[in-house]
Amino acid sequence: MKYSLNLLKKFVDLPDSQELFSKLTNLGFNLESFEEKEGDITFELEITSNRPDVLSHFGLAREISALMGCNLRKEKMLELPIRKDSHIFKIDIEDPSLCPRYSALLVEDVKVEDSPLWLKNALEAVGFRPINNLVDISNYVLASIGHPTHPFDLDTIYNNNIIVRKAREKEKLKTLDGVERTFKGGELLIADPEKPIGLAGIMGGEETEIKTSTKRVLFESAYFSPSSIRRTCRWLGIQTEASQRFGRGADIENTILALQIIAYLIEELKCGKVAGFIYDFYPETAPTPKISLDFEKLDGFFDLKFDRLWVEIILNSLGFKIEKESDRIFVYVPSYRQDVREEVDIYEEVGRFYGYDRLPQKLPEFELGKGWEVEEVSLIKKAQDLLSHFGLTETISYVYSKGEEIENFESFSERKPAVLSNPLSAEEPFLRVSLIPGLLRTYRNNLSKNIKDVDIFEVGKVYSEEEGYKEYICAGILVSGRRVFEKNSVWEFSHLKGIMEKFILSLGISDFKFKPKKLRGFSENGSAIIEIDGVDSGIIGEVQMEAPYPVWVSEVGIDIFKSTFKKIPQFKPISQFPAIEIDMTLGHPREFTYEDLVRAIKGRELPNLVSLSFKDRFVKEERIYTTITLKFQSFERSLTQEEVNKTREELANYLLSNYPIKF
Amino acid sequence: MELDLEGIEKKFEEDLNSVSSFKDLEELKQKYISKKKGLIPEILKEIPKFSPEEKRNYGPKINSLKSKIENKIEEFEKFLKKREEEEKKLKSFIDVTIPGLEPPSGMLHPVTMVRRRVEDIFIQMGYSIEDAPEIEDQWYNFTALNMPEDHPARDTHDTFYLKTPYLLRTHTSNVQIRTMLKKKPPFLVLAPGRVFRRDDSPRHSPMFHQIEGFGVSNPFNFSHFKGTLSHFLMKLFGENIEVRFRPSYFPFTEPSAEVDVSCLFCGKKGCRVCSDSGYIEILGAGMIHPQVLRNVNIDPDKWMGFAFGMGIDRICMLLYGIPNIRMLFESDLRILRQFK
Repeated sequence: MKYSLNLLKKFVDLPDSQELFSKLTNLGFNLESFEEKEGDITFELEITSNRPDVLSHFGLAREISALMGCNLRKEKMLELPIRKDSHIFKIDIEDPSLCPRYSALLVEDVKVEDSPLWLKNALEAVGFRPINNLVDISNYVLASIGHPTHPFDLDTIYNNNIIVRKAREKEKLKTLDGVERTFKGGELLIADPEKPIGLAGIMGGEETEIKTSTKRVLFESAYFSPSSIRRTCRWLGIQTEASQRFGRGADIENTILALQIIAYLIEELKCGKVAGFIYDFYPETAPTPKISLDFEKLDGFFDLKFDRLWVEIILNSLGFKIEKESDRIFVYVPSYRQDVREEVDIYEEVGRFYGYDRLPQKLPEFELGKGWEVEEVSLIKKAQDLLSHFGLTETISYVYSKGEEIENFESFSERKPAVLSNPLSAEEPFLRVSLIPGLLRTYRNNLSKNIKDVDIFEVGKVYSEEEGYKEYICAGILVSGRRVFEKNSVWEFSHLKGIMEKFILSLGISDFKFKPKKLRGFSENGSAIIEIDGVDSGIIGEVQMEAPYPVWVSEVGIDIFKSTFKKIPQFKPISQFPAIEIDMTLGHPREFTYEDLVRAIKGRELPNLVSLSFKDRFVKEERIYTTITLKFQSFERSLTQEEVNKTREELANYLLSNYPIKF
Repeated sequence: MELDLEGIEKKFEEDLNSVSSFKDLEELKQKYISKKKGLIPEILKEIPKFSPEEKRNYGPKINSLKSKIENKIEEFEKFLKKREEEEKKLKSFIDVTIPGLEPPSGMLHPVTMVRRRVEDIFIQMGYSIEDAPEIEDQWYNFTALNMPEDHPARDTHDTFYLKTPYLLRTHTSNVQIRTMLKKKPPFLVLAPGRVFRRDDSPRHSPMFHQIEGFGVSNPFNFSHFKGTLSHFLMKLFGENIEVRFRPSYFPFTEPSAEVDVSCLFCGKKGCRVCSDSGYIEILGAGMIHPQVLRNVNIDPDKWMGFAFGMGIDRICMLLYGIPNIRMLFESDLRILRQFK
């Protein structure tokens, strides 16, 4: 809210402005900006939503007076008798739970004209545009004591009858801002028997506003239920000075005071004849909460022995009434402090006025219990570490997804995407089911800046709708272009597959395979499902797209590693005898895969064969040739070249006669 | 018999001039002094056929040409050898000022790095690490945190909704509720995670990261709360910073505080980063509201707690000097790769 030092001075003596600002910040009212102007200083404070009572100069002055220990002055007002009815106008409240209090002041023979200069200046200083004397008086009271009031031209109100009721569906009202509003039903309205005349607690109607021809004015000073006001504001997308205060909770005990100040100003400005009474509908007086304050607990809470008298003085000057008992006091909460309901709320007041910065501080002496880290977090950390050690760069992408991104890519499991009911963009109502579209966005983003060499990964959650919603942790990789760390080398399938294999092994599972499968969204050249521990858990392949280099992606669900990633690798004995390695080049048709080849060789159970590995592959005369390195080693003796050659010859004959293999 | 020895010499000089390698030199030797077919030995072979006068005339001249050519070749060979050695030396010379080749090294996202830094500080203080779902039941995200339906604070959260009662969590505070329901105090917990707000304005991102911390114990009070956060902030930003606690409001803490540090860039003089206030807001925090403890069946008369939350992305921007939060998620590799 915007405040003026000149208006504030009316209520309380002030220190120098810089000192004031720093004191206000320490009280919890953060200074946002200030401006020096024509003998005044105006400033904006950030007021938290629990403190509507400070959304006025008087309210802020109360805090300052408590802090500085000085007097709080009141607005001048005109005391008038209170009456529960009137022979001139009639007020009907349909549901008192939505409008527990409605007070009104009648002014006759009004003279609508410009306000005097002091009033105009005071309003302009705090951001109100002067309109005419009657509206300005209402706005002045708002700025001064924080209670919103509204002047109606009584002669435009049918039968002089005001009704507070809920709107019916499709009812219409043109508000003061010239906007014609149509209601969905349930908004709280001020109406007369014929039509709506105002949005209760938010904004008046255009038809009943004050005009130069206006003769009789009825000032409304009511209290509306905060939740009803907030709901209507949300529905209509509107926010006003009045709705801000009613929405957070105005002071129900202020309705009369507001009208008394208005009455005083009407007479002072000679702009009308104030009726000899104030109307007040207030069937059920709001209760005053009573909180017990235990001083020992208070001291323990802050680790500080407070001067009890000082505590009482502070609370008193904030408007809390106090009743003493031996070791504790009872605190009666004033109507404007709806934020204070429990003993800790009182602690906060004490702490605030003592100053948070002056309160003691120390590290807790904590008995260390069983510390823990949830498995998911540890697993994610390990996955991030592995992939970054493989030379990849981590990215984080948004989780919002387009329908086509989900349809375009086949994954290892069909997931039903979660749908947002209020997405930011109508194009992206889904939550991602895969990391690959996000990685591709990043890739395209970089490509548009002419960055063609990309080596990135993301570890994050994907979502699906099933028995409510489920979250899965995935790791995704995208590589394309030149390899940064190997000159003259371009990312190929085998590089990515190598990373994935190492990744899966390092997370503790050695039972996995890559099953060839043409996947939607992937190029003809080759894509595969990654099966881990017998479960389809990932995919790998080249994305079907126009790009300067092939774009390789892979994704695996990593929840499967929760039970394995902490596995500790076990020692394996090593042989003291030398190994002999031999190469074999085998020709075979395309359909006969490397895995088939390995299976065929392993099926022979050759003596002393310890490993076999892929060496090379080439194409000659429409046939694929694969070179495999076989490694032989014994734990008992040195093998001879002759026996290895013999084994190889036997293997060759076996393969030739049992498989579609040539040499 | 006429012998053009001068012509041969002249030709030899020309040939020698075009020699630049051992190979050329070998060819030159073949051509002139090789015993098999070299030009000079060929001429020498002819001498017996000369007349005595010719012998007297040419003999010494041929011999002197022979030794001249042999000397020159030998000289040139020495020169080539020397040159080769020099080149070898040059080749093995290391110019230690040329930059090295980059080793294979990937990197974590700056947000991950900051998250880990913060985690490390709290783990040193005995904190455990927790997590909770990102798609959350509104009870855990709001109601249990003392924000019942229709609470004004709910309006300020710009929530993304799914099927009732689910939403994308708007803060990591849901971890408080989930942890307190499953663990018995005392405990100290840290919970970093991803959160979502329906806000796409220039200074905000519809997805960002928070770190939630909380502890429940007895005795546990406001001075412990202040002590813990001051210690943390000095570990993160350096011992020289000043920490400021200001009263604030959160429905799930009472009393509540915002915790600022003196501006890292201007040292409280006032600059663009701190909007001339001299301070930068880092944490929202407070003592856990007794109602929150009641909601998770912890007796607020026996136990006290404090809780705090901070935006990782913001801290990340401050530490790395990144001007815009969106740069963190647009993943421009020219930017990300800077933070190796």
